[in-house]
Amino acid sequence: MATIMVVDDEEDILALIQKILTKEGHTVITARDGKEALQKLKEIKPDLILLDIMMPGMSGYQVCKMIKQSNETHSITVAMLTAKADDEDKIRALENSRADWYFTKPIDVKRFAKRVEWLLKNPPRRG
Amino acid sequence: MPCISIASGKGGVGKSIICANLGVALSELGYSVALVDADIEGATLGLIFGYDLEDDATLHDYLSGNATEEEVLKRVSPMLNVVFGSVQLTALMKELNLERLERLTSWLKERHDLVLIDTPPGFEEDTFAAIKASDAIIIVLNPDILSVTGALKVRIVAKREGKRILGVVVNKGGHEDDIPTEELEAILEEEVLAVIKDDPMIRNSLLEGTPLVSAYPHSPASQGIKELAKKVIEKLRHTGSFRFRVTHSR
Repeated sequence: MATIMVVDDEEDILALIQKILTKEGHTVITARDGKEALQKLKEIKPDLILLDIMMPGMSGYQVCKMIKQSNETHSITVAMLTAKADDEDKIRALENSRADWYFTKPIDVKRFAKRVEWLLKNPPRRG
Repeated sequence: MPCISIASGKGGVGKSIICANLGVALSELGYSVALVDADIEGATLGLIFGYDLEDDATLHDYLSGNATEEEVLKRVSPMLNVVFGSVQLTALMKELNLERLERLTSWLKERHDLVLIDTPPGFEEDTFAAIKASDAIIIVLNPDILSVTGALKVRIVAKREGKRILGVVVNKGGHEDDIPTEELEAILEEEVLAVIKDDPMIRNSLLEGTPLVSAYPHSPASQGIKELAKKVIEKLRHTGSFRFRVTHSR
């Protein structure tokens, strides 16, 4: 089973994702903004980070970039989990911020655990 | 009849191989097909079909106003014609009028059931000209992140130009650890029309100068491309916005 960090400023989303993933046997760590996430990453190295984009303070783009630029955390798989669904947003996340994948909200509760399993097992090749 | 751009965004995904072999597969289904090698700086259809174009008129001659439509159209089989691109450096130094591409495709559309354009990768003027000259787009990608972002960029251009995307073809796929089809469809918001398996026979067919579908019709990639051809016809038939006439169907 994996350790997964969920970063989102919406309590409802945190609770929903936590419920889905703990049911699958994963350990879930939560953070309400980028600052809290980066702080927790000093202590814990999760297998996967699910990261919102629109948060108070640092945006998810900035947080992802910092994670991917750090020698300590660059190998952690990061997937955006966001309501922003434009092609430009996806390109910005995957190219500029070097995210490993991009999930859009709202999520399909029944399928989400399976999607996370895929990402944990086979993070996509960059190219 | 419809003109379809085979586009990718990212280079090296195997777009020209898909374009050439899709053309062959469609012609084998009984449709008259014209291919246009509009990859101005990296023309490869000549290599794929084993044509030595040293003395022949090419797309570059047409775009520079030095050849007619009839002169640049080569018959490679009874149902398949190709407008090859030049591989000579001097051809690139000529002044090319990319607006003539649309005139050429209009002429080809009147004489064929389907026209496929091998579109240059990247997002330069020649790519935009190819997309503008087409009625619809098929995006080719590999199962990796940078291919996905290349495909997303093609979607942005297609939307801007008001062109419909018929779907996506995953090339060099079929590995267990590939991005699943449903994930590609979710992120791209497009239908995956086919997954073409990574196939060593592609290399052999290139060395032989014969398209894979003709040289190795039973290879895994050939089978995938033949299925893709049927899917493309099905999509066009169900799309009311195209005048899709079958003039030579068996």
